[in-house]
Amino acid sequence: MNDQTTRTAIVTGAARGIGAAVARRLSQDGFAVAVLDLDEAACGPVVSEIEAAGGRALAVGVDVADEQAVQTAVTRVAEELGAPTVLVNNAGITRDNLLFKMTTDDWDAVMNVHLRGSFLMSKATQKYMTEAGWGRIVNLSSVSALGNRGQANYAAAKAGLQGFTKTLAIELGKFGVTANAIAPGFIETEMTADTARRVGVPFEEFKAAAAAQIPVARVGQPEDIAATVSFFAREDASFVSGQVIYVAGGPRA
Amino acid sequence: MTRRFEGKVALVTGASRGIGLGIAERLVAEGAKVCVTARKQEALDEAVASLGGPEHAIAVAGKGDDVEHQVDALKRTEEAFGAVDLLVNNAGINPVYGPMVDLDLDAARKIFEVNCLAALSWVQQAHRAGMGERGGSVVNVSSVAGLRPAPGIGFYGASKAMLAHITAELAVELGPDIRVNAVAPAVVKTRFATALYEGREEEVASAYPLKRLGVPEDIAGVVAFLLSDDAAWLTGQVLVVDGGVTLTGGV
Repeated sequence: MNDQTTRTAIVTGAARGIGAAVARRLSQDGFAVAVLDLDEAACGPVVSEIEAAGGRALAVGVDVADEQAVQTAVTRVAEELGAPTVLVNNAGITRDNLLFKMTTDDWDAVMNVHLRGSFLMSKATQKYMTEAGWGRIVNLSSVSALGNRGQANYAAAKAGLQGFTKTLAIELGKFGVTANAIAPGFIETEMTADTARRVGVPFEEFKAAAAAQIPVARVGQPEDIAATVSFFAREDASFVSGQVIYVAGGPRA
Repeated sequence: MTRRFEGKVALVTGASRGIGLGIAERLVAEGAKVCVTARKQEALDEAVASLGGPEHAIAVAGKGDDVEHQVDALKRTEEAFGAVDLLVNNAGINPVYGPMVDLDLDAARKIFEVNCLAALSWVQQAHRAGMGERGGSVVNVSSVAGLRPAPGIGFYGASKAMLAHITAELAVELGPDIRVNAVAPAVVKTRFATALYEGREEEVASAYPLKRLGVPEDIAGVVAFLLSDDAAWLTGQVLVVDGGVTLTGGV
């Protein structure tokens, strides 16, 4: 297959932030893009933007941790946009707290969106990829997978996604399906703005402090991650599978 | 094909054939002017011809670990096309096979000189030749042999592990204007690696989740990404390009 063939991609958590940038970039790359998020109406602006630029997109509201809802959503994407052969598991939430204060609900909520969600989405989508003999799964991990104070749940989920990614690479490789993970560092999104608010630091100051620790001397933008997703989706990355790439403006594990 | 390197000048070492030539071809296809280096002029002349001739590429022959050759190549590249923006340290040697416990230490020193010090020296010289002021992007070609034991080519692997670490150190030192990344290929079908697959390619490939061995284009596509602005916030990374072969961990 060449890069010009129209294909369908699914991006979860795509109403905002990194997911929205990924959806826009994959559309620019020629994909029809299913924009998935909890609230279908919230996907509207991204879909409109893609359509205004001449692309095809579909807003789908889904809780990725709900097995039946995921099945319904993926079937709808296949019917309305075409068989999805690219899946970007980006949906994520934070429920930060120190271990002794973290509630079981906060633990479960984070595990459910990242791990159960990526599992259900991958399971529902893989058949379209194996049937096509071509597919791409890109999971969003995080530098938090290396350990991060106040994020026992998030760090465990993001590290879990790395093992999930490697196993999918082993299982699906013979069908021409690659699975890779991107572990972003500090990206300027609503999620990091929330973190700044929570720790009581103005966002600009919070960003400047982060940039001072980054060799590339700036915080990341959602487009930086979208560009790496684009790379993994291209033929150029057809021999790369099971890898975790840290896109963090500097070296990480 | 995108044209991400229009107006850029690249230097690729060890580029008369194999992975290096594949990288040079890709960079030229995306608009770069390229200098290819290797030991033998004749092979380099053929490479330049295959790259489209002197309008797109020049060749400078010499020993990769000879600093005078490096300075000369950078100077001649600048005269022909402008200062080097993109450097690919691809040249590497693997002259011995056998257990490390019996390794000839002079052979080990040579491997270290060419695979590690020469790569560092190319960066130093490129930095002094203008990259330090103008910025740029560097990709070092490491190997999966540097990530886990590879009996028989142990010291080669050790040298590639060092190159991966040099990559991370340089990324921290040279940011934000120069990004430094590496690729770590597994077996790629080139003359360099013939002994690792010839006559038993299917058997070797069966261990790869993607069920095939690599080809130079696989590496070139990844190197092009790392050199491009798509990777503008990506530095100090070693990207494994191995068809999944190093993915293990089961009990």
